[in-house]
Amino acid sequence: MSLYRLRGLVLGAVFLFVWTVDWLLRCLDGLKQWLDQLIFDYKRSTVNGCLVESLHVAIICEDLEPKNGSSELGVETLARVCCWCSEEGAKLITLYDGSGGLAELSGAISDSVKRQTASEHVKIEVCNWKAKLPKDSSNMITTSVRIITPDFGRGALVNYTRALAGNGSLSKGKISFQDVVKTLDEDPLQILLETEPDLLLLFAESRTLGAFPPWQIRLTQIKHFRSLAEMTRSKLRYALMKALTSEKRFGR
Amino acid sequence: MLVEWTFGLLVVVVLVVLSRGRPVRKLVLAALRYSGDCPKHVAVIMDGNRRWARRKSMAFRDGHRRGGNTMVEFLTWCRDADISTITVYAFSIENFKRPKGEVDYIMDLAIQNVEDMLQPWSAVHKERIRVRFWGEMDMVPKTLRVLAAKLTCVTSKYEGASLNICFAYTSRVEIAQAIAAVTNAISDGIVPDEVNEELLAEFLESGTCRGGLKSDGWPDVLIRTSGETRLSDFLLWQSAFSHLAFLRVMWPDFNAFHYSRVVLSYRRAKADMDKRAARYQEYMRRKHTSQALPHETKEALYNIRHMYANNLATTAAGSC
Repeated sequence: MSLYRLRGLVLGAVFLFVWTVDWLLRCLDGLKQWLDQLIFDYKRSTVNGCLVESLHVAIICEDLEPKNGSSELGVETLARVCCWCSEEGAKLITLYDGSGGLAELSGAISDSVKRQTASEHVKIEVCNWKAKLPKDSSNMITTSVRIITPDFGRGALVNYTRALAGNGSLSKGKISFQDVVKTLDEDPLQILLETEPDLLLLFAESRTLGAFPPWQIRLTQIKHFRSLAEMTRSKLRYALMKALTSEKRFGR
Repeated sequence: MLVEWTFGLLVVVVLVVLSRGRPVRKLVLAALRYSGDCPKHVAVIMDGNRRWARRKSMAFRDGHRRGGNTMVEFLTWCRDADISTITVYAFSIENFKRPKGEVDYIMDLAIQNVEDMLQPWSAVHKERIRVRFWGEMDMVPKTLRVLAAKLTCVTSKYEGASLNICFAYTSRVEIAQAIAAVTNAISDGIVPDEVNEELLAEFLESGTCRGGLKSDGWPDVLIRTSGETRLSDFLLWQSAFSHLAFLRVMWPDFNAFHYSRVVLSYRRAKADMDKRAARYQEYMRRKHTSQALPHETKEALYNIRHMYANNLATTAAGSC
């Protein structure tokens, strides 16, 4: 047997070993997550969304269309997740996908949400960018579901650069980075997210943000699911609990 | 049957234990290279030093020191793992809020580490690693600033691999600096008045205006240790299509085996990542006319890059 083939066999065997150990550890990770979820459900720890005055949940949802090509099931599931978020106290839900397809389905999402809103006290408004946030009235939990496209991500920062430069609407001549931060925080063009999401739910095969608005995800907790179908009410509660109770340690 | 399973399990345990040694690490990394694509640009949030020290009942200083050693160790095997660019989050601007004693210690440790890297026998010179510092270096002690500039100049011609150390860095400040720089460049007439994503990206720390290479802009993988699942103001722009790997291991315990698991998860996710990146590019192409930079802009960027390199050499007190 030549040295080259022997090398290939040895490396192949080592790779198989590494892959097997990784697979075993992934199974163990899955088991641990399942046990954590079980303990959480047993303790019946509920997250009271009203503890945070304006809970903001962002959802990245790529590929609403499953293999059979129909987006209806995906829209129903997404609407259900929005309703759950609202019932847990979310005042603002931001929906995003990197291809801009969600914006075209806003009508379907809105109808589905209206059908699925179980509680009389929950009112959800689905709108494209950018309507004003609805105001609370009596004991109504009012949630705004906003759908954004990639234009509101890096495109928004490019628009601000255009506005600040040359003959732009916000041009002030020479500026420092502190001026830029102040302008972006004030958001006069109203093209940035109003608040930083507390939790970002990522529904996609890959754990990638897909150019979600970069300015506002500094400290956002990220929770990944491979598909919408995996999502349950208790998983959402668990993710919210983790997001709201995680320790923020001086910028890390 | 039981004997066979027990024997098999023992072999697995022995090999896992042995993998802490160097020859087996080389073998594991060679097997990864042999079996498929490996990430070329790896970004790391080196988190968990203090918690690691607390678990071992050690002082936080020991945690930071051990974390620094782990980073240096990472440099020695990054070429074996086929990594050509590493970007590490060493110190955030927000970390200045920590107790003064801890901040002073971290600064001293950074000075010591940079001095070690300047030595001819260090991994940086052996592996021919080009080192750059990203961040607001005006906020750090002058000694560290000068040493960092010196290290950048001395290693600027190296072509082995790239190491970008984010020190006194936050992504928001980086993006705001880039926007301010583009705005001022347009006001001065240095750069034509056509702003797009690519132009803005050139003015980031990873951009060519700041001495970056093309490979600096897009990490293939962003690793965060210690179990936290947030970006903490690190590479918010550049990590748009990076595979995010959140590991429970604390940074001082990070080794090649943890990295090999990251590579396997990267390979599982790559097809979907590429698909999503293509869909995003398609959307941007439909919505906007062109993202390419005109020729005169590229020339202007070249001049700006030249100015930046001269400033760096001045900071290093002409020692290049």
